[in-house]
Amino acid sequence: MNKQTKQLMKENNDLSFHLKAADNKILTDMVVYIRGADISGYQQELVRRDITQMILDGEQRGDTMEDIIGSDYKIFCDNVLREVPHLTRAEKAVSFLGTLCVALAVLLAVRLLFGLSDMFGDTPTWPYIPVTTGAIISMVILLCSVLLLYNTITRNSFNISSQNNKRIPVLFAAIILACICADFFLKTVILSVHISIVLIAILLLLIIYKITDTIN
Amino acid sequence: MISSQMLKGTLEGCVLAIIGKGEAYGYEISEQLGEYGFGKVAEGTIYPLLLRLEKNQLIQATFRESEVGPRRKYYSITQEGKKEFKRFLESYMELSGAVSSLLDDVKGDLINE
Repeated sequence: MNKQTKQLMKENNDLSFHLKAADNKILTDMVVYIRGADISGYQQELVRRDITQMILDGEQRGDTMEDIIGSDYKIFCDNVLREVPHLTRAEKAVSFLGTLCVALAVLLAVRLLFGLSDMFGDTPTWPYIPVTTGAIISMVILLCSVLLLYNTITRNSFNISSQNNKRIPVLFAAIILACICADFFLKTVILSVHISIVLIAILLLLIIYKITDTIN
Repeated sequence: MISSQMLKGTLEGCVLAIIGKGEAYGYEISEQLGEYGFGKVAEGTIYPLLLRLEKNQLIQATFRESEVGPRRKYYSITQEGKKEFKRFLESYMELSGAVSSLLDDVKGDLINE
């Protein structure tokens, strides 16, 4: 996220503090929906600022959210998103790359921590971290699940019913369980990587993420 | 009450007309539309329209501090906006004439049925 977007986000966060709780909840649902759209972070914050100011102004007049926005918040957001410049294919690719890199960096860091704990096992492999089929499978499952979960939450921010609210944590727990099982049962070592390589990989991934974030 | 389908085709031109009269912010525009007989038009209906007009450089926006509450985005018409409004006016007058002519012709028949 560049400086301009960060600054605008901070201003928007400060503005939303002045909203009534009920209105802030609806605005949050709208912002979550907008976050899932193919528009830049800066455009998201511009739209967020305009909507927040509209609501604040309306609250001053004693209007309800329905008076200010209309009866259907999803239709309102869709109409707004239609008029905002969308990311090009290249920009979408860069954004996805950034997300993938930071997710991989986090997963590798977790793997590294597990690898460190392996030092105290029966057959320590230190300073090498064994890469098993289970580790690769669980990383892929986690990455795909997180992306799917993000899309589901943003696309359905207006109709996450209480049923779905219970389903999502259960689904997430099932995914974690699948990852743990893959890790536990699939122990075929494909290769062993020196810890320094893992650290360099994490650093490179974070650098790529930072570059893509600044571009977008 | 004017149907939303009828409103869709003309609202953009009418918003340009209001902004053409003088600089205005979103709620002010929806209030003026109400005063002209368009019924209750929520600011949320106007906002995407204003984004489109701004994207097409028919209007421009500036922020002003308001007397109470947050800053407001004021919209003013551009030269291109004035040309576009003129085109809308010509099209609308032509359409209005054609519709009036047709309705005058059939109104009597339908009422007498």
